Amino acid sequence: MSALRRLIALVFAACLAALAPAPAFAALEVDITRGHLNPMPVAVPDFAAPGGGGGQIGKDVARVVRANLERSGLFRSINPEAFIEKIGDVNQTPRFPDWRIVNAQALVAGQSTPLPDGRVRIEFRLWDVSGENAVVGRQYATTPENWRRIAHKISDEVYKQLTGENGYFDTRVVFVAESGPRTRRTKRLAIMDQDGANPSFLTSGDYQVLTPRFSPTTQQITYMSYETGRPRVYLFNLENSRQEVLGDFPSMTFAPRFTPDGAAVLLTQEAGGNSDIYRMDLRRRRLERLTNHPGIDTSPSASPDGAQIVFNSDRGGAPQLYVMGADGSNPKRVSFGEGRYMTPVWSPRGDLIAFTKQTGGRFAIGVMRPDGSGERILSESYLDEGPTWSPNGRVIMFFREARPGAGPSIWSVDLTGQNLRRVQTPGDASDPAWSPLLP
Amino acid sequence: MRFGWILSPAAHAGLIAGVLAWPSLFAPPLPELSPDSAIVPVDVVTFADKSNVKAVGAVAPKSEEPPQPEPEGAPQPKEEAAAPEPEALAEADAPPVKKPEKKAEKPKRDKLDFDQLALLLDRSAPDAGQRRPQSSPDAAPGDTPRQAFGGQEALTVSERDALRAQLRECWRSPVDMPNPERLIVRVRIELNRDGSLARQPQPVSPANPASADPPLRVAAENALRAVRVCAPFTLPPEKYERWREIIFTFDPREMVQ
Repeated sequence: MSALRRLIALVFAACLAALAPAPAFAALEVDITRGHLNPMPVAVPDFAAPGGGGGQIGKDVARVVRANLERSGLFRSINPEAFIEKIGDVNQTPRFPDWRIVNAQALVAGQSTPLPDGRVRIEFRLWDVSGENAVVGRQYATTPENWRRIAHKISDEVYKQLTGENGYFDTRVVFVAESGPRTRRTKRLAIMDQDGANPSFLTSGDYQVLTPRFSPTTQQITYMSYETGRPRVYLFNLENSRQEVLGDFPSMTFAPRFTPDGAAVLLTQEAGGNSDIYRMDLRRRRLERLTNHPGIDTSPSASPDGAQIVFNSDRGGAPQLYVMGADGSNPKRVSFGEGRYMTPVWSPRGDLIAFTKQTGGRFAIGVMRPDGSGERILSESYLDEGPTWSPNGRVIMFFREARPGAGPSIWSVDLTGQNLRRVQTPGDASDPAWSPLLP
Repeated sequence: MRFGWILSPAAHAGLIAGVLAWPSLFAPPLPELSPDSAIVPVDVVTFADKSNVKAVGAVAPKSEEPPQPEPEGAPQPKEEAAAPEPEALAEADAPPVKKPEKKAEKPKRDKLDFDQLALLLDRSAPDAGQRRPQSSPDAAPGDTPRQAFGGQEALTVSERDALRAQLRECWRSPVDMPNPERLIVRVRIELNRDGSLARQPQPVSPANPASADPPLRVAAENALRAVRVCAPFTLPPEKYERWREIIFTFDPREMVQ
């Protein structure tokens, strides 16, 4: 009997053993499903000038890098007054504990050195403070006047390394500079750096200019102008400042926008009181009709893969957004919210369409997925209009008239809607259009 | 084989007899197992942060449970245990860096710890984090550490939630990246008794972040940064064996709308 007992006891013990937890020292598994979206604290001390001279450039470059990163909303630039270590040589490993104390997670250390030929060499290293390793290092040689572009290129490199996405700092923005009384407004084509620096005019104030758009592949702008009295679509080459009319049509053309490959311009042509969308091939200069509907079809914008076009049409009553094939096939309405939807722009990332929306006498900038779902309003005022995407599809610029009669100004907002900022312009400004990253 | 027809019914009969006889069989305690060790610890894995299973109306305190003594070897070896950290300073080529390192390490630790504490206290809801690892006398049943096989003690749900709450403050979620659902990262860490990192955290998946595509590389770097910045972790010292090695899975899918 006792033998049987023992046998049964053993059987049960075996059963229990099978149910026992994992063997000793197995790693504990923990799922982390919630995190934060706070800006990453970054330290950008003034760039050193070990070779003497060039000290001001180093300070200026660091200041512009700090401002760029801060403005993106993804980084927080730590006040340089808090820094403990003074970086004297960019090739020396920093004292990481000194940077951890000020809570820096990344450190951008750089220096500028004058070269014998009058140029200046600017170099930097990006350090991961917690991992104590160098992430990236670059150097640039340039004329001293070019320091701003170097600062933007450094900002782009830092942004790319720390976010995994391309930056957008070494870019420019064309816009319409406005001046004069409301009744006799002067509207000139102007261009500036993405941060508002280096503004300059491209056209004289003799004629009105509207809706400029940057080519995604070349240094060209397309826009609408009244130069000949009748509204026409023009091309402007930034490299040689030449402008030309895009096709000489008897009727009015407007709302131009480049296709993503830069090979064509989508535009609206009005003929006999009916507006439809056309594609103008830039090499053969041939116009191809894409829509044929008695309603007003306008504001075309192609998807980054070129396969689809979003546009605005009042064929269903009020203006709404529609998506069709690149050849004009299968137009399908995608916006169904209350109000009127206008000026759709497909994100360079492809995942969203930005638009202007009018409801109850106010205008808003919003985004939705290409199928019309997930609509979100990012900014709203008396008049917010004309969105344009940063080349990485994370930030939108637009123009705003804060109240009736107020002059227009340019603003930027990121996809979270949390980071709304005014872009400095010399005077009133409207209709911004973002360039691709400069080569 | 010839006795198979005998053995089979015999074994069946034996089993049935065993079941019937179980209560009496059990009277003499089994040699290897003590009765209260026969409780199988259940590891609850994926609970949301709100899922503190602590009973709301305080259940009668388990007075028979001796209050968990402060573990013998563990009490705050902050200073000593901090020492192994600098050796992880892999490729720093400038030797003078090492000196200031040790001095500076301490203030940072204290500061982080304090911040962490404040953050946890801040959480006003009866939510994750408010329970410190040392189980207090009013611990709800679910919080009572139980002896398991091999001397291991499972972490309670609230201890896990407290750990998650610590990480939540340190992890920059990639939810705003394109296609965030795919940016799931696993990281393995080894800890000292004081909750500090015993060595640099190791990426598990992707195993080699440097060769991953940029968004996944950055997601992995953010996860590694999160555990570095969050350390030292506050965990119940008496369960050290259980949490000496942890694999974190950083999964942004729940944050995607």
